[in-house]
Amino acid sequence: MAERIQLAHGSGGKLTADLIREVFYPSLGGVEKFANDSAVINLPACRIALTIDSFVINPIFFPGGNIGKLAFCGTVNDLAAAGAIPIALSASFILEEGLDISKLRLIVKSMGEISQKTGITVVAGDTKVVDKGSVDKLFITTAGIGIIPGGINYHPQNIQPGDHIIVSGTIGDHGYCLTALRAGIEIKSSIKSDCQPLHELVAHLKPLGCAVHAARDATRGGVGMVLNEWSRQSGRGIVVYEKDLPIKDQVKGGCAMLGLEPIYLANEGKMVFAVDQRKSAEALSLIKTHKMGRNAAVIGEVVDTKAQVVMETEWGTKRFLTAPHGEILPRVC
Amino acid sequence: MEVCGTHTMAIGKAGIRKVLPPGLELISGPGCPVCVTADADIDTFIEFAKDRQVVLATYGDMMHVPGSNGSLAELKAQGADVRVVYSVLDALDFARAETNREVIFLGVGFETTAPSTAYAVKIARRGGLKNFSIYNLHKTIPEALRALLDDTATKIDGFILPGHVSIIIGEKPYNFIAAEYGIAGAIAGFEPPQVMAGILKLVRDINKGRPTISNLYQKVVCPEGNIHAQRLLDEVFIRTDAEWRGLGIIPGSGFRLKDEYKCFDAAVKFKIERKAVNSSKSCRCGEILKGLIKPNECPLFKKSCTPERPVGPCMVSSEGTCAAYYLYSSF
Amino acid sequence: MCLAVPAKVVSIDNEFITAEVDIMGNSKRVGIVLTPEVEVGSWVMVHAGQAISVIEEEAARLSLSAWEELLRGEQ
Repeated sequence: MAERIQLAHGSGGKLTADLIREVFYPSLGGVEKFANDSAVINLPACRIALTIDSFVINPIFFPGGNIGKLAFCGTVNDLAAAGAIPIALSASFILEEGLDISKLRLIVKSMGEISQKTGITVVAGDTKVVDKGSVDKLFITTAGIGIIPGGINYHPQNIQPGDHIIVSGTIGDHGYCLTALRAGIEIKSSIKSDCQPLHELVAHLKPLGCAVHAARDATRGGVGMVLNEWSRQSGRGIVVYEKDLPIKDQVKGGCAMLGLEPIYLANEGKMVFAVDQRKSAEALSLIKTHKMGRNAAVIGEVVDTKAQVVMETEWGTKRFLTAPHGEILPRVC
Repeated sequence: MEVCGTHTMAIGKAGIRKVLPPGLELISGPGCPVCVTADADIDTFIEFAKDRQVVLATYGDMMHVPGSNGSLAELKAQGADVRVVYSVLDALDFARAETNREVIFLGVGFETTAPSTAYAVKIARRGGLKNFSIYNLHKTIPEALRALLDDTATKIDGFILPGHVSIIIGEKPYNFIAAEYGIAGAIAGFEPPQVMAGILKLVRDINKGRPTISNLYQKVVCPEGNIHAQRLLDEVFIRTDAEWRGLGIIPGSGFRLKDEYKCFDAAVKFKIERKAVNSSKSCRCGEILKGLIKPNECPLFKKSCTPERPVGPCMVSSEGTCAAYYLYSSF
Repeated sequence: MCLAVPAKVVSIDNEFITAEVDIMGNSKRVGIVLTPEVEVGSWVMVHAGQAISVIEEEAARLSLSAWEELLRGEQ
């Protein structure tokens, strides 16, 4: 096997077949003689969740994960946010000519590991190779399908005044971890990305049925973005209690230094829920029984005002928490 | 008036404006170094950045400031080598590593960051670096405060004085505010209780009719300031007049390199002519910076001027008055 | 733009006039040319990659005391 990706690896000929057989199949499963243009899955009559996401993260390896693990978990989490049980994923890889194949192997291997652990299979894939400089090392697009059990309907349109907002753990870890790595910032912190699959954690809430009104994973733009989206989509107001936000000390300190707000930083392993307040305490304790939900907390509530997100500060004063905008540039002087 | 942009942000984030009693109003001053950068200077450093041999190193906030023809961020998207640095020393590293490129550092900020820039120039000279220079836009606060007080249009009863600038310059440079103008000033920290303590002190001074300059940030600000920083400034820079957006030219409020360091002055090295610019007529950043109007009194605020599409620097900088109001508006 | 945070000095490099500091668990290298008197264990205010002021450890903690002192002082 060559050391680096060449354009020929994408041509669909022998080298492509070699790449699939030697890098993808060993980790993701698959037997050449059963391969076909489409994977065929038998599904019962039900509601299907379908989602797709592209991953272009830089750097492709970071503390706590890599672009492959991110892609797998990201798509699983989008399905989980619909209340769906993930069934299968498909993954498309766009590779830069010259990419070190050993790096690709590591990435695909880690996808395979999560696949094994979760029992969610990557049933279809595609590889393309483009000229050096046309992509930055590699981009991955993953699509996934899942089955939504009866009695589950997570959607922001269900959000009602009185609902409690619950977040499944500490916020801002992934975004902070990556920011600290940026050249010129060079903060050494022990914060790792929280990249993890949340479908089992969300499934813990199944017994509550429709008392769980909405769920969303707080990726780009963080919890702040989710709450603004929900406020707009539901037409309701949301109040956030700053003192209740679960944030690691390191993230707090680093953000203070860089002029960032943890509530706007990306998470890759945290879910936000809107839950009927009568079931909120039960929801919180169900989430906490899962190891990924140990630091879950109620952070706010939905109120009967026009659509706006308000932060009640630790000092008891109030201000608007607007949607984050633009590229997050750390403030400096 | 809270002078410093960091105070404006801290006040906004904590929702302080809304809890003040009627009759007590906070107006935001010109202590945002990005906001007070004159259009002519913005256009000049954008010209520097267009040169393909140049690496323009800058603190992050300057990236989106709009000049007459675009911003550094837009220029970067077109291929210019513009790099955000957290510390001026990173710019020196670039110069050492890339000897075939000219590294120009944008020296923006008040007395807090000026000493680091002075130090960088000193190191560059010691190391005989030929490909490093600075475009000096550093400005000083006390002179700006004097200009505000001399302007009959402004109605300021007290100043919340900047915490970080004071770390460098100490208390003395503010004494004239009380002594010559009879106005109170309080150096305050940035946590909400510290800001409130500053406001309370000012109110008490005003009520007693005895304006003082007080230091409520004593645990961090020494009365004499940071001597090492002051020495560096004296060693490398001399005071000069500087143009402040909205305030015009304020005598002695800027720094330029001393003659023995002239070879590190980008304006001299590249013989760039700084062209006067007619600012957009509808942009009212100037009045905002003097505290004459509030952001919501500017006809462009939130309409044609937003953080996504800023017209003037007050909206671009994360510390700009308009950006702070936009982000943190109380209700 | 002007954001300074309190940090504890963990180690000092006299050759480069820098120090490793700890900011709530984060580790960063900063210049100490403006605070050459620091020692390991000193607390400093860090701003744009430079330590600009040496402070007491208690000053690094949230200062409700400024408010309280003022209220007390004016009784």
